[in-house]
Amino acid sequence: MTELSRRNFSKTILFTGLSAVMLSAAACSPKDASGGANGGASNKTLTLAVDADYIGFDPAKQQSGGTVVQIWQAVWDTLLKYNPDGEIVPNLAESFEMNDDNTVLTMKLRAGVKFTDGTAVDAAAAKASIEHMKTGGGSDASRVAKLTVEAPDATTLVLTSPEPNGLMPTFMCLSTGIVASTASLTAANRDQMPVGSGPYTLDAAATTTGATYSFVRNPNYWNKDAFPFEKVAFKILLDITARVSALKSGQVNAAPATSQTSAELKGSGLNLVENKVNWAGLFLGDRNGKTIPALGQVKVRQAMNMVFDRAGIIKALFQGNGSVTNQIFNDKSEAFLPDAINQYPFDVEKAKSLMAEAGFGDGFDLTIPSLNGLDYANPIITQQLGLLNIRVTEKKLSGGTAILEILSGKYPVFFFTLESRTALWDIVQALAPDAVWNITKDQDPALTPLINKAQTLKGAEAKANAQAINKFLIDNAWFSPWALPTAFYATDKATAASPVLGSVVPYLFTFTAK
Amino acid sequence: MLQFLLRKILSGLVLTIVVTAVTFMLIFNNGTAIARQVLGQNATAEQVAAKVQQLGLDQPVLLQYFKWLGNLLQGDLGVSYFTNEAVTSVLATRIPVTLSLVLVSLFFTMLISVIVGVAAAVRGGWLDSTLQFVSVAGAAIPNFVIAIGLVFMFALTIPLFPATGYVAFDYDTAAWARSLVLPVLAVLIGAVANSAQQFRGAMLDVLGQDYIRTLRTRGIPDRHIIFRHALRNAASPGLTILSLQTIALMGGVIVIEQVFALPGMGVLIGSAALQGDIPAVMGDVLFIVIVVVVVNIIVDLVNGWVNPKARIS
Amino acid sequence: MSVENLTTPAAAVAAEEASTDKKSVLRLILKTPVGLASSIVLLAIVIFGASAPWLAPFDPGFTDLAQTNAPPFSGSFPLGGDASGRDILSRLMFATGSTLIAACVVLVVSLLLGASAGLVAGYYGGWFDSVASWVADVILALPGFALLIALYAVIGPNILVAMAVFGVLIAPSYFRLVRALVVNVRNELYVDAAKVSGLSDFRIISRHVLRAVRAPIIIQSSFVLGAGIGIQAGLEFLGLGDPTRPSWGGMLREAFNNIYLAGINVLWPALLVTVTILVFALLGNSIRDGLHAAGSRSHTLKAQALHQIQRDYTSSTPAPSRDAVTTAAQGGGADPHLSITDLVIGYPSSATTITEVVRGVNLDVQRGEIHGLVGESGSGKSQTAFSVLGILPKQALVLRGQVLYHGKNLLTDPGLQKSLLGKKIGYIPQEPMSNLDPTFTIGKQLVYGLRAVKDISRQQAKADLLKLLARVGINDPERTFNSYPHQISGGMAQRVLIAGAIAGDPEFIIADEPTTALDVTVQAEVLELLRELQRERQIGMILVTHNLGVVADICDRVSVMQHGRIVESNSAAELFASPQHEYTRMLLGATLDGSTLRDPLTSSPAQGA
Repeated sequence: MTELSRRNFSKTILFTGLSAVMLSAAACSPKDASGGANGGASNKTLTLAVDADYIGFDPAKQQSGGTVVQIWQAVWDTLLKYNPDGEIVPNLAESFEMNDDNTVLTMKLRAGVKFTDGTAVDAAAAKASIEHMKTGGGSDASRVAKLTVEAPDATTLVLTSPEPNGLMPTFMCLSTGIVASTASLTAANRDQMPVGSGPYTLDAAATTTGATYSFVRNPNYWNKDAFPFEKVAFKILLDITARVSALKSGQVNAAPATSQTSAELKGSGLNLVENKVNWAGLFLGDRNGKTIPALGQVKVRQAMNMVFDRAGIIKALFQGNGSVTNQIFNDKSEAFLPDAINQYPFDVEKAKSLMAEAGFGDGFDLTIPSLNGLDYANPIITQQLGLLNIRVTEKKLSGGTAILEILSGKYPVFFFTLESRTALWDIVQALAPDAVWNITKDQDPALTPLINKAQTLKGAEAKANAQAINKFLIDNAWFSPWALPTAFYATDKATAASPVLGSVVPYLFTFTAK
Repeated sequence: MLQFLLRKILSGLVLTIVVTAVTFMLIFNNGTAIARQVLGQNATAEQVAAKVQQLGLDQPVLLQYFKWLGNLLQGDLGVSYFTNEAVTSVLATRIPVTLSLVLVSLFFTMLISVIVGVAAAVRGGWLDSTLQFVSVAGAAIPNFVIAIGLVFMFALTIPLFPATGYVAFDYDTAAWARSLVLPVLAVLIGAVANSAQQFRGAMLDVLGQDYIRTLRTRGIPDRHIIFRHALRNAASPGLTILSLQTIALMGGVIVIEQVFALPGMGVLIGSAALQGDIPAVMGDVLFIVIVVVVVNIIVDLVNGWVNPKARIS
Repeated sequence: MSVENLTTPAAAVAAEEASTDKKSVLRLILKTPVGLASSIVLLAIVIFGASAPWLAPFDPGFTDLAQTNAPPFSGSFPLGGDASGRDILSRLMFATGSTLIAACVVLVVSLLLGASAGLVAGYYGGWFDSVASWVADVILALPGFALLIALYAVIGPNILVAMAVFGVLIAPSYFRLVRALVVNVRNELYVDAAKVSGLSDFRIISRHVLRAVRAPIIIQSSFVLGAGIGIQAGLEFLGLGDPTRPSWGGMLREAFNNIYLAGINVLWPALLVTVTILVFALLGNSIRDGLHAAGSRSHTLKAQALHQIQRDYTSSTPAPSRDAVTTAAQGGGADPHLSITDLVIGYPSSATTITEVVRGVNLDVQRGEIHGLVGESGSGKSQTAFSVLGILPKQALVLRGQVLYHGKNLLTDPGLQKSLLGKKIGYIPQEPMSNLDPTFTIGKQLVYGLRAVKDISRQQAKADLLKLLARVGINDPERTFNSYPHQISGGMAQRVLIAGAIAGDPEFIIADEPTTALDVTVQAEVLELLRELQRERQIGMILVTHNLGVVADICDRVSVMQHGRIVESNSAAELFASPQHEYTRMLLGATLDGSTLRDPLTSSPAQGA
């Protein structure tokens, strides 16, 4: 027996060694507080899946779109609040007012609100936050870049824009309206430790950067009733299959879903919150024909509208979830023109003759980018444009620089899904000569005055102006939109949430336990 | 013995330096593009230029590498270009995941391979033929194909295990174990097929040796011969198999982590490489090389303990 | 696919063993069912890919929105449509060609790099060898797949370049292989080359090396191709491939992302990848096995043939051994200690036939008698001896006869035979160094052996063995006891083995050429030792040898074996004085008796041996 033990001995060494390593590895693995999610949300904990990486808690780096907004909504208040139907209401600021030409926004702050570090939420703090956003190197900085901020007294905040800017209130509902504790703006650990006045505070012990972000209720929150959950946790799950799995097994209460998985989720008994947020289709840049002369021709761009079977695309690429469109404004927008939807029917022959009329019957060469997650449309693009003798080559873009390359205007034609909020928002972000999504910085003498007016008009005039802009875009085929695909957000049976205009995910304050 | 250990550590260090240097210089990319990526699409040219200087991207590559090395020796792996988080803390969250997968897989691979390999070598017959066949099949199918098949099965048909996702060890050990079942299985099938086959070969070689025959004539019972003498002699080639398997495993888990959505080093290296987050990539490569070096040292040490001849050479 | 396992020692050694020319390699593949099937499948895959431009039903980029995620056999797409509405079958066909080409890139790069470096390193040695070997080790230690991903930032989605890089990472496997082979050949031919003047070394070596290297390289190549496909698929699955061209891994990725809508689409690319890699692996294996079988002398009998042969032997009567001259009745004793009667041992020479190596041996050994068993290599003497111990190789077939030990037939009672080992019958092997377990000290091995047959404590066993080691002429028993086999000389090792053989107090010993592997000076001492032990303990012995000098030295009786039969059996004195059989006479005539003796050795006497 003792002889055999020698072999057992060596095996024991190995086993102990391995176990030791495993244990130590496990010992340094931080906590993962997803507790309470099993079996549905109690009033206690809400666990949400997030489908993108989170950049950290530097207030200047926060983003206004996508799923990550839910995370920062837990810890910071914004000056104004954006209701699900798009109406802007007071939040940290108890009242606000725009002057007549939309160049000055005045806000009166609520009194008596404190940050969780005990300092007061006052105009000085708000000013500091906005200044930080301007210079902090975040992607939303440009929104407030030109604004000057003043705090004449402790509860008054004045934003002044050199030109009419009707979006200022909207900006104050988004990341640009975040008010963080002044000390935290420059703290060395600001990426890890946010300090706000929001409904929750970060539970650092239960947080694993890049994987789980846990929050516990801020006991002194001034608007407690709006947030029924004691704890909120976010799990970063980039992979859709992982999210579906997590939903089905009860690891999370809610998660962003996709059109492709909507049927599966519904069949598993989950609720789907539907929202038509984006328009999907082709950007047709270089409308002045500087690099690709053909694109300067209206008829060419019109042909590129008529060569796509929109209904077929919705059925095939979006599983029938969504509606056909040829406009970049969503169907609730004041700019929307329902009667113009069929202005470009699917007619390949007509498209070909349009190309010939424009003098480009032999087509031209075109390079389109191929992006992760958006390349599913490239085969149909290549094929259909090919019918017009447009010779399409794909260039794969990857990593963080992909979007940058597109925004630089290198690829005038590309497939994308872009959010549509209010008419003014869409105009500012896609049409203005310096708009982020006007990638080739095109202008048109007929369009520019309309765009300028949009910043100051109100009411019925604003609507008429918006529609006029839309008409111009459609007639001149500045884009080739195909669909308003439905965005899906899944919740388990015990959790409810409301869709928000212009957001792919429900805002945090819309979540309730059923 | 000490000299032996020191020599092994030294060669491991050299390897680490060579590998990290080569990787660093190869993935060094356009500094301006990296800075622009970090700052976002709305950054001005001056901001970009300032960032380039701040990150030291304008300096010669070799100099940057030595700086990195110097910081490393002080325990500082730099800071992610994108999240400003210390690379060491990023690694700290990812390493346990990957280590869980690698170590558990290694453990079971060796355990099963030894058992199956010994049985096949000693008994021959149908067990051996089956092993031959299974090993070729198992080694041929890429492990991520197996992984996909498993996800397919458990995501679509049998809800026994969570198809994807990971739960930390000390949060909920049972759930941790369950979340590892499928990934480990995917790795195991290919790894065991390979290792068992090789261990069988090593065992057969040993059993064919003269001294085994002589020991039988001394009247020593067969089970002692197999488990005491043969196994001990097969340990040496067995350890070689183990170290090779570890190297293979470090590469193999990358795709497995992707398929099963495990937030480990593999997923990190993919996204970091694509983004050009050099500090994170370097941290990742460093980790992988260190694991390989450590495993090799341990293997050499155990080999020295088991095989007296190896201590001298 | 674990690429790194291509370079295990076992793989290299197995490949080294094989060396034939190319024509028969092809024949080998096609002869086995596995090889044939694999070749056919591989050919089919190649055709599948090559014929794409002509035979694919659709263009790989053709999109029919209506057939997005279409199930197989539903519309005009035979295997269904993918998530963008393209024909899966056509895409698979076009993907096949580019995949195979990329795999070839791996092969070419790694082969050229590794083989040429191995050739130079093996032939010239020196600093190039050291440097190249070190570089190869470093490259092998790299986690290749991770590196390829990290390098993606530089390479971009260019799968051909990535495969070339992978080829560099694999090159060390060829390097090691070729280097080892070249070193072998160089060592062999070095002597020859010195003899043959006029022909350049290089030409000889290149001709020989190419012949020796061809088959192992082909085997290795099939595995490399398989690995290339696996790695390629992996990279493409991660999204690092070229999105504009169809690829197996890319199709897997798309299907996987779409798993809830059309999970079946995962099947086709997965199947292709798996089958292709499998086929390459099977091809490599079948070549390797084929060469191994061709070179080896071991076959396996089919069960049916085995039964038939066994029946034939048991029913037939023993053939009288012609020309056998046995004098003075087997040993002249009424109750022989060991009696071998009509022993026939054979080995399979093909799947249905056998060759006899022992053809009806009759042998008696009395108690206390040293019986020499003499013959040339291949005469069957060792086989006869092993049959007594029951340590014949697995393939051996004992077809007829009896081995009676004290009247009990060991062949029909293997349990009894086993129980005698170490206790009643001992064994002294020929080659001392390879017959000791290198991982245990001498002492431990001896203690295990002794305690296996005697129920005594470890301390007692140690004490007894130390005494025994002293008895067999080892000067410092304690030190030897604590040494490892590689730390003692050949002569000492043989004494240790003798000690091990007699530790259990056996009555009978089988000694298989116990002095053949020893220095001449040590031989005499060991023989003297054997004689003393035999006299002390009255041990019967069968002493197998080809050396008549040894026979003359210590044997009482001698049996001469030729071609599996005993041709003469007599007392030693009589045999030497008047050999009866022609063969015996020839053997005796071949000794150096009568010729001038060599000068006595002037070197210092061996220490302690």
